[in-house]
Amino acid sequence: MPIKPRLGWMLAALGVAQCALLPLPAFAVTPLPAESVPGAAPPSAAPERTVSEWLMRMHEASGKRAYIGTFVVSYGPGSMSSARIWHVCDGAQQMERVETLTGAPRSTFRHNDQVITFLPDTKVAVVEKRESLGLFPNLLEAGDFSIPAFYAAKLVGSERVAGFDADMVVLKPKDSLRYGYRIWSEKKTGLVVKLQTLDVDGQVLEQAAFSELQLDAPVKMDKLGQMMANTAGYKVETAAMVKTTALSEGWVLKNGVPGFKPMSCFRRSMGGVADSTVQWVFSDGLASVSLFAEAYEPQRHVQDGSMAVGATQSLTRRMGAWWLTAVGETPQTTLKAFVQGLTRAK
Amino acid sequence: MAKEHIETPQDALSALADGQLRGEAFALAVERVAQQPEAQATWHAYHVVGDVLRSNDLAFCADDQNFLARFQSRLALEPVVAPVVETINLIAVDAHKPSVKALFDIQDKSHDVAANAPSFRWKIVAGVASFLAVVAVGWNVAGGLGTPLSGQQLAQITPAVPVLQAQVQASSTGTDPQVMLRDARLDALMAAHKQFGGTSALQMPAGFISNATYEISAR
Repeated sequence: MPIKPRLGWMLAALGVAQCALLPLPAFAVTPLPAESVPGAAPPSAAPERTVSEWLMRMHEASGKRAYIGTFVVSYGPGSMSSARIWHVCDGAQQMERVETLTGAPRSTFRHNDQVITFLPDTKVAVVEKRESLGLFPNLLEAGDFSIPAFYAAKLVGSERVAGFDADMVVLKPKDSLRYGYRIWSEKKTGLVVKLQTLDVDGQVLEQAAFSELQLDAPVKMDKLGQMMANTAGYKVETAAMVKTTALSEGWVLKNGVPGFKPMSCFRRSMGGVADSTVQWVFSDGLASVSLFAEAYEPQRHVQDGSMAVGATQSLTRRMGAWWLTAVGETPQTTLKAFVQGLTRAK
Repeated sequence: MAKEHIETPQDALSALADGQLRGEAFALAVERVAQQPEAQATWHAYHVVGDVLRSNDLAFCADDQNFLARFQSRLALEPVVAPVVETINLIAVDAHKPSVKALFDIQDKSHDVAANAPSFRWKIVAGVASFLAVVAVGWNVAGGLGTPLSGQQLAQITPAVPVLQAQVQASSTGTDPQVMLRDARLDALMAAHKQFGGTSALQMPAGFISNATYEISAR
């Protein structure tokens, strides 16, 4: 069973460029209304859902199902990585194990928002708490995000991914400050089995998918917990970062970027006592932007500019005594707007 | 020791009680004791014999089987808890302290200097982010960045900005993208964004495993 989908995926990955050349019909210039028009019948009989309903369904699927699968990620032509995934949950708790199959060996374990990554080559285990993982769906429910104001969901068809029939949903941005997404959501459970990030023209910037998936697999939470806790022989390292606020670090965003809200702010040392970098994180619910600010050093900070890896863009420029870098899964225009709006608090 | 003397199961149990078995023989004997009540009784008897030979005080052993039984039943009642690393307890509260040890050094500020060796964690992030040594990227030395946009202009931003156009062309037409060495520091920032800035409703279903899958090849 797994062979055919895997082959299909490889071909798809190899043909990213060709796929990218086919503009999505859903990405026509006219923006869709927030709620889909009832008259526009979807290709299948599946019920039309709003963007919030789709996101909630996808989120809940990962919180209810146990599965084992092989996951493949392509961040543009010529780059492909894969990993073996174990996922288990018991309603309140979620555990996940990711074993890479390409590149340097690496095991990542996640228990809710707690993450530990084992690097067997260096015998180092990196421990971190990713607060952002615990935020949803609370923010979705609380209405803190206006995702429906900036994205519209549309069911555009159904396809088979990793042997499962999946609904194909497009999340289309309503302005040019964010990318779109094409998501394959398994029909019965809602689980995301494939995800593409699309630029403003509807071209695929990066994609990730299961090439093989076993739903409701026998994954034992206590066994994953034991593996996660077994740091014997490893040097445990933690993130050298401290929570702070943008204002106390002296930063203000003058003109916010529509839809993006400040999420968190950290200060982290980057190789020296006096050298600390502030990371201010924004999100519109689907895309996120990090603003990094550090003291300008002429001998180190020589090249400003913009760069892209898959859907992740970066923009670097000097602002007086400061060196600013914006990184996000957004178009360059969005990063530019952020950097232009960032000022020192008076 | 004296393997040639082990001919019967009783011999094996005797050797086990004397701590003389190793490897496979040890495993077999332990398994027998664990599974066969008579073997367990024999093993226990050998221990009692040994104890008595050493000292009469050790001969009072009537209750230890009961103790074991009670212990086992109580143990069975204990809730099985998945052993999980409470990573929050490990996160360094001082930005300059790179290791778990920092947690215990908090009160002692005199350790700061020693602990201030460049953050190892950060190096890992940088290493992780050094994808392929050379990556094809669309790089635009920012010609347009020097001219600040006014608020009004910001509001009117359209995708038809030269910077973006250039990139889209480079990636979609397949023309040779400019190849350049990646800046390790920028890689580190991008990795930091992925790890701590990945705030998205799509993060839980797919984003986390995408990042975890990709970061590896990044090394």
